[in-house]
Amino acid sequence: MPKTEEEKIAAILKIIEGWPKDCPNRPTLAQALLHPEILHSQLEDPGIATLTSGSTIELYHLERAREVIGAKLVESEIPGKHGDIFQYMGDKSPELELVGFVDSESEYTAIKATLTTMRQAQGATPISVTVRCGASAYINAVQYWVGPVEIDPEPGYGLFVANYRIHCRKRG
Amino acid sequence: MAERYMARWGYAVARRPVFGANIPAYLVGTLFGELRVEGLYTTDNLAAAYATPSAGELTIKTVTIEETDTQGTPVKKTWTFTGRISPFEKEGQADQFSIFRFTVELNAEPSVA
Repeated sequence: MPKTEEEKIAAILKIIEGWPKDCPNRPTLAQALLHPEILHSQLEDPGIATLTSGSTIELYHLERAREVIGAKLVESEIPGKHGDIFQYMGDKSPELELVGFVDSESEYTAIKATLTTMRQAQGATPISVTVRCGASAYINAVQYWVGPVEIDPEPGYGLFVANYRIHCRKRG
Repeated sequence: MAERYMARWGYAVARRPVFGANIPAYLVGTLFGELRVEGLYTTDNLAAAYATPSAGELTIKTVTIEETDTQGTPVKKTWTFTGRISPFEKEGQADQFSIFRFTVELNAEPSVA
């Protein structure tokens, strides 16, 4: 963590430089100094969510990180009585759905090309997911299988705006 | 016989909330705009007919407004607005003149020359 004010400003500048140049919501230095939470980290990684496997995909405009902590429930039928539900064996791998939008073509390419390339190798090289709420990384470098990726461009904007949905399932 | 007009236009700015931050992302959306014209109504006023669809469609009308720009040497400026007229309004009172208003839903940014 940067200690002096000078180091802090240098760290903020470094994060801003990391944002895609074509992203219209790339913060200015003034914005970042007034609202450090816009950087979504304790001056480390700028993306709200990141998927890492060698390279890193930054998701700058994450809207939802929906988790389903699955269990396999089954029904049993008992003749002459009402049926019942019980849990069949252990808990199942939690699912994570990263929902958000991109507002620049480079962010789109990161999901469309870089993430899918990363996904091809995920058998041997697992993909780690981090999701931050402000400064706190509450899902911190957890390995997930990346499943289907949906990209849905939205009408009504002069810029490239597309909603995305990335389905993940925890490994192990 | 138009006496007064008011125009406004712009692009919608969408505020998209993002997770874990109070500051939303701002996205520039679609054009909106309207021109409102008000004046004394006379029987030769044809604008009312323009609020009626032709073959199911409101045709695009062009409204030009001339004004004198008061700079060092006053110059005439012509503003051109295009769009569809809706609604047309007419307001009156017994033994008095009546006035009309119409709104043009702009289909492009106005131009000035």
